[in-house]
Amino acid sequence: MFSSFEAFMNKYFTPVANWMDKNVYLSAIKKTMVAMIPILIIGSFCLIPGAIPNMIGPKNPISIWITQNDQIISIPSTIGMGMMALYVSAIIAYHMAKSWKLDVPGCVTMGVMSYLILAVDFAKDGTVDVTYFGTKGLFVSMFASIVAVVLFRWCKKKNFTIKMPDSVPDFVSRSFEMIPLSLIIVGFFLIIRILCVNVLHTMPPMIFAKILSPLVGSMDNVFAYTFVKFLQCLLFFFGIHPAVLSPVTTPIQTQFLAENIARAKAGLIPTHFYTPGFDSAFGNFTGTGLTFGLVFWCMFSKAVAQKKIGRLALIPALFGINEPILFGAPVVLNPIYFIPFVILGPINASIAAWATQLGFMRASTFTPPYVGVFFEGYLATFDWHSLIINGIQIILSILIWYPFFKIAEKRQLEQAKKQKQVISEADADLIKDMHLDF
Amino acid sequence: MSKRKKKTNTEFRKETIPNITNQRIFAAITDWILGGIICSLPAVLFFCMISKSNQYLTSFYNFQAIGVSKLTTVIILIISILLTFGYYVVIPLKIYPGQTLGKHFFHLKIVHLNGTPLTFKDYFLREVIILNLIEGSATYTSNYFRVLITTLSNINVDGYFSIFWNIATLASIFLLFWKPRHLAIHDYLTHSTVVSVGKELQNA
Repeated sequence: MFSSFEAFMNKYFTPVANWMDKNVYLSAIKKTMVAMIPILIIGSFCLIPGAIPNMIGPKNPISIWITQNDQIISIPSTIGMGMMALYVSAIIAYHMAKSWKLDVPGCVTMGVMSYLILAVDFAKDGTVDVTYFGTKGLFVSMFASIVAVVLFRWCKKKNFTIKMPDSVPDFVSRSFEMIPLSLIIVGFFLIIRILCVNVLHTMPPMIFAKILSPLVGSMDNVFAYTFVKFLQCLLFFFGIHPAVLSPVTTPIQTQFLAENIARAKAGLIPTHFYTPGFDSAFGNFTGTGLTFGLVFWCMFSKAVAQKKIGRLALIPALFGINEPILFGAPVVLNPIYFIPFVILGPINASIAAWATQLGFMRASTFTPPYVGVFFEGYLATFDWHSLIINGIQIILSILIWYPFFKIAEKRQLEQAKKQKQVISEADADLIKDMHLDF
Repeated sequence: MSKRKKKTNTEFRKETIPNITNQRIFAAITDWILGGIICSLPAVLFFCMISKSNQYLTSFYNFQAIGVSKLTTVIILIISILLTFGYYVVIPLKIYPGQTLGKHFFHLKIVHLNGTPLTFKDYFLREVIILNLIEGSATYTSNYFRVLITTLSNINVDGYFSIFWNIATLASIFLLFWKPRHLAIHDYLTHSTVVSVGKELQNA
């Protein structure tokens, strides 16, 4: 049965994966997001100490130490995840320049500069506002970098350059060649910024969320929510981190939260379930795709590698971080785990949405600080039913992942056995060739 | 009383062969997204200009909530409906014959059951009246009609429309994928179907 499923995956999904690799834009995005994974993992790990005072109380000596040293502890997160959009703009431009055989330093410079023109904002005291340097600016970072390199390529094709005499050194003439090109690219993005800020009264990073807001706004129903979770898992399965969707979904979630709070203050029942606290506590419970089940079974696996990954991934999973299991198992691009991750994970995530729509659990009116699983759900809703929902989700996750884990474990054990046999045969031949005489 | 004769495979082969693969699902999703973005764009831009805040247009009721007059809201909705007409009628009639943008990307085409192209009247009935007013859950643009009726009548019809549209759309999906002729409600009522490009008419 699994062989026919694997044949199905090879027929329909391998071509999609291959097409994504050959498409310059998607390939650049995918490679960039893969490069961002260490930053995301380190950044997420550095947020875990910040959750401890919230869990054990602020007067505890450990909490006091963590609070006093919070700035240092969170530096990797602030400079890592907090500046992710900046790195993404450079790396996407790099990969696209390499694909199209363009001048890499020129493309990277234009990519980063274009992104900064759209994303930089200034506070009232004149300091640079870095709000859109992190995940909030991801969408505009990708857009600016891609468009900048496309414009760069177009300008090169149309020969918009300054030709210097042959006597001028190569590195000098290359810089001068870039001048008209830079003017066109910078001018283009300046016009976009002026239109967005002065006409539409919106910072450019927010314009994408605003254009998509009617669609996302209509998604405040369980079926649409399940579709969004499915999309996030599908992207992640092909190696693209779902953070790319957050610049669009997070502002809408925040607005829904504000509407919930307003209704609660007016003595009315909040109606929107799609809020940041809800999505984090239930939609991404133990990580995107609700992968705790796989972590659980891996910890008890007979395969050595799986056991190690399971034990390593346990603590992060309890804080909603599942990159270790996704890339360690691996789940990404592994057809064995497609069904539990992409199809069943979103359905499991939607249980909480059903519970809220049917009135079993209160809608969220609070975005909790970073705490572990179960705590987060309770703080988001202030409803003890959230513990039941999280409990159901965790049990379902364990049941869902079991059959697929067993298939993967069986394959790993078979591979390990083959390797042992191969080595033994090779060793046997080696000994034979040596013609040892004793 | 004789029973109605079931269509045999031989008879079906003389008509077009409907496409009921994932392509049709992906084309429908693409039209839902692209149709929604393109037809809502003027409303979104107008909302940005007048709200001058970080508020998002999550619902067309947001216009009146920020103080826009009923007349202005109705005008905005009519503009969005005209764009809906453009997306679902003008594009398949004039730009990509037989294809909305979603169907164009996934190489599908809307044709009559005998393989002939649809007329303006057919597109209007199929894509605007049936898909937006009867099977409203299948399109984002149906929201404009719902909000327009509520705004003009001062009666909140959202709930009634949601229930009716969900039932009609689910029934249509059932007919499309699980009945032998593979025709949705909008296909039946306009004697049309969706086929892969180049396979408008298959002979027995």
